[in-house]
Amino acid sequence: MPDIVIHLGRTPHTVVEGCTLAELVESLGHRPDAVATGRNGDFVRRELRSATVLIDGDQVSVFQPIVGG
Amino acid sequence: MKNSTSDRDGWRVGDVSLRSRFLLGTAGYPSPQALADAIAEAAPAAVTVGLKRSTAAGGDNGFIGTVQAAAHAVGAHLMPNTAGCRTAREAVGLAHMARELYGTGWIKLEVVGDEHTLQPDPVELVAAAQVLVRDGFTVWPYCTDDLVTCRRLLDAGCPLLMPWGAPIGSGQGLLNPFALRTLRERLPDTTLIVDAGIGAPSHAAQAMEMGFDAVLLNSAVAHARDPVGMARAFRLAIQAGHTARHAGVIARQDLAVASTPVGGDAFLIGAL
Repeated sequence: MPDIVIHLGRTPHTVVEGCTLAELVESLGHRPDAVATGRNGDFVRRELRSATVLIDGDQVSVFQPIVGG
Repeated sequence: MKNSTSDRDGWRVGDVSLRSRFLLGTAGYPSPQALADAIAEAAPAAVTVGLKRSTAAGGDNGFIGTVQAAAHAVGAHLMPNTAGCRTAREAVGLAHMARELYGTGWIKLEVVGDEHTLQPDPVELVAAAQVLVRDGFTVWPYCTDDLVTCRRLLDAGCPLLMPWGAPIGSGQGLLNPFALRTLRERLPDTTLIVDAGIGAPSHAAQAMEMGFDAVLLNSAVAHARDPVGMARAFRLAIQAGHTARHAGVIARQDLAVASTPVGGDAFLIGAL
């Protein structure tokens, strides 16, 4: 399959066409329940990641817990 | 909508009863152990946490695990924030992520409108609050001390308000006591929490003496030479200020008023 380019934050990132958000999270080394995700500015619930197929140019956000004020 | 209450003994947000009036941030501590010890000493009602953008799996030196364990040990609730957001849309998205990650509907809503002062953007804040309340969140808005904006936030369904004392991390204390007193007087039944700008325990005591219901701070403890000692000092100051409020602080007067009930002349000079 050909590759497509998405953006993780501002960083270009190459994935295989047809890659889902769940597969991306796994490929980044995250436990599924250790992060929250968004696509093009919209929140994507954990249970919907497997059905979310990434397309070229997608802006993907992956967030994890951190201390805060 | 009013679903928070506060009285002499405790306060309530929705169905959650709280006793401590100390809310503590978790950022900037010198070590996870210092953070855990500070939480234990503060015994706060809630600790604030955040989210960070990530491109690859990585640790946080154990800070989040420490926060969760220390908070659980003292019965403190986790309250994620939307720090770093500049628009309502960003804040709404981040709040949903926070709810999924932390398993709580409480959200400290931050939408900043100025990079220099980190002043909240009132328009975006109200817009975000409206959406998040509709989506089932309990919204704790970090706001300015502007009375009308505060009313709009209450109209949006926020159960309480968290006006700033001073810009975040500045340690300047209560820069505008007039505005804060006005909020207290004009919104007598609203739970009010001073958030941000607190530098010393005396600032927290002042807020509580003014009738605020709780205080939220981070840097003043985290950046102290002894965070645990400072957590203790703030806990005591907040308790003292709250107790003083209900005991009744006397009115200020310009002139002296003798406290010793002296009658007549103390000495009969030259009477012999």
